[in-house]
Amino acid sequence: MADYRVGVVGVGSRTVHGPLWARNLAAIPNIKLVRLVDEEPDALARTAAEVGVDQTSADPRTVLEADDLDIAIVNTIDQVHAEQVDAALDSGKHVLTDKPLGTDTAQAAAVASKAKKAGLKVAVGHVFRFLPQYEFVQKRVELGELGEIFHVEAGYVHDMRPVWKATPWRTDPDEPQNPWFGGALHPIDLVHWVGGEVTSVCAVENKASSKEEFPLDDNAVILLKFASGAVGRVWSTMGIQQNPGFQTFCNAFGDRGSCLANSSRGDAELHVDWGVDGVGGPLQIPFSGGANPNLSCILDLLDAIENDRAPRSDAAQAVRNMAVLDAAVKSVKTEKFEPVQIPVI
Amino acid sequence: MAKSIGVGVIGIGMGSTMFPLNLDENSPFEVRSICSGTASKVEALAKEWDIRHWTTDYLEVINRPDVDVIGVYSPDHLHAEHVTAALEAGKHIVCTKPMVTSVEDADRLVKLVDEKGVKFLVGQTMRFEPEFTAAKSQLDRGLLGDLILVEGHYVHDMRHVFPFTPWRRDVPQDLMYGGISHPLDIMRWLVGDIEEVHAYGNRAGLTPEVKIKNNFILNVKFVNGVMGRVLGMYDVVHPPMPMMGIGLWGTEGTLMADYTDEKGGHINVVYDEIEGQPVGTFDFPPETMGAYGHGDTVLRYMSQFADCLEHDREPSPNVRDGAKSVSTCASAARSVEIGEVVKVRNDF
Repeated sequence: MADYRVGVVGVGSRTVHGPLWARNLAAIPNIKLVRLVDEEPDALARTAAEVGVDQTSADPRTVLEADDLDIAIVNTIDQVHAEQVDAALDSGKHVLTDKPLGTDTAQAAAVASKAKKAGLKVAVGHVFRFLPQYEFVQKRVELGELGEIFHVEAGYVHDMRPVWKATPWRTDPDEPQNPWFGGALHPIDLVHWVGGEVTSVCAVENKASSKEEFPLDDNAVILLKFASGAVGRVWSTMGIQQNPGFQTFCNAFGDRGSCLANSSRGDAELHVDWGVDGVGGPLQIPFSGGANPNLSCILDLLDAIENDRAPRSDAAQAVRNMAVLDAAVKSVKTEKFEPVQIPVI
Repeated sequence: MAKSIGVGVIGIGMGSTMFPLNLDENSPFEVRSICSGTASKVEALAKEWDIRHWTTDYLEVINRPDVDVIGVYSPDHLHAEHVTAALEAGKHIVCTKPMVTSVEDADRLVKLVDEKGVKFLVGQTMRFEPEFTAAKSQLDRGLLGDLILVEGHYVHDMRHVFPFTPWRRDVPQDLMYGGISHPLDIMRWLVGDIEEVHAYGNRAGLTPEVKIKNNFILNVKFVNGVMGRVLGMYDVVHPPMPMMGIGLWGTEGTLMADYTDEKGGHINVVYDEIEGQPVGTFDFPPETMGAYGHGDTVLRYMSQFADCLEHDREPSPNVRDGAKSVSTCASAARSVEIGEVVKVRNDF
């Protein structure tokens, strides 16, 4: 595999994943981590020392517009992802950006279109696609082991209070993080991956956390209709009080079986007709918890570049995710099912 | 469901597991006649289960016009005689394992079943234990890939069984047939016919009256090239391991399934596709009804047998499966005797 020179924009608190991407990149042998950018000098110096990078800057352009890098990592606040990915594409770099790809479908589609025309890869950090229990669910569906799928559901259930303290940009009263981006996009991506194209949605939302903690509604439920005829739901909640504080789930139900997986329990259950008339079961697979989906996401991008294929979570898929999200947000206002309008890329 | 099919049962030990058929509303079977050598016992059981006829003469059971199916649960060495008489009378047969204890008898029964055109089920409980059924389902679904090795065991300290079935000690029961046929049958079910076998056997002497060898290890080669091994230990201090088990070693996964009487069963499995190969588990609750806790298992195989009678399907295992298991046991016994690999006859 070729060697790649990489720069990272965002390692501090005004990011989605803090120093996580930089740490993972530093562990990959054929990656040369060249340059880090952040507006917080202390966080920047700390991460640079940790991962052994001597070129640092507060200016994102030193990565995004650089001509000595192969890949740019965009790990900034949601609102600037699209423009930063766009800038990196303009200078001929492949990109791994945290989700969302943009703040609406049109923005994401413009970026995806540019990447396609330029022949560059854009991987979007829908990292749950790389959790082994969700890979297990998706593969069961893909192989037809569950028969015809009639229901797919996924959830992002996160007691965000500790996260809000660590990354206060998310609760900025003037421009708080859109909870649809931070939470709902994850299960929206999972149901897409497992269930295929979504054609229409109906959503409701309310508030789970207190106003002091978070100013917006942060509990949303979306009902989904898939092109296949299946139905489903997405649940995203961020103000919940629970222990452990974070869990996600993804379940698929078909006419010949069901597969259920959960991130906090770290397991998957496979229910099919084992010929035993309901005696015993289900087959339970415990996953070690040692998975590193962010690392897997980077490795997938490298493999996609190497083999000229789409990354597992690519820009086109991110556009479809945003289209579902936009339709859901609209549906909250209209209180009707809204069609998912996917632009041609 | 109407009780439209009469059943006669010869032998009331394991044979008593047929009696709950009379209470099963989903079964067409009704046990109408039972036989055992001890009149007082068989009479008491007939009263307890409201069975219309009892006797100490097995021919009375076989010749009753209201009996269509004969369940043979007599001691192993009497199966050939009892099954032959029932077949001659044109009855369908359910015969507990081992079907018979010689290749000559097996051959004869196959021909007689063909001639009479009746259904014949070998009562091999392992095929109907849910953990082994589910294991086969995993294999059939391709989750384990192509088989490399299959293993099976049935181990049982027989000293605990002799007091209530003394014939096993006094005749004695030849456990190359009565024991080994359990794992051999299920391995044949999973993989196919066995081509050759090599075996060792010994006698520990924990029950001095039993003079024959009753501990065995077998290596087998299946016709399709899969390797197999079998463990059958009966003259032993019961080991801290499940009574029955199978191992399926495939190119895409490896599965171990086990079962112990009245303690239930388990499957542990790893799949190559899952990084780190976490151990998947599948637990099956204990079943306690009937002799040895095999009551539910017998109801399951009788459900299959009802379906075979109604729709003219072949039971599994049928008389040819039974014959091939007996033939494999006979080759293994011969191998123990001569110390060489012995070919297995499968042309029944």
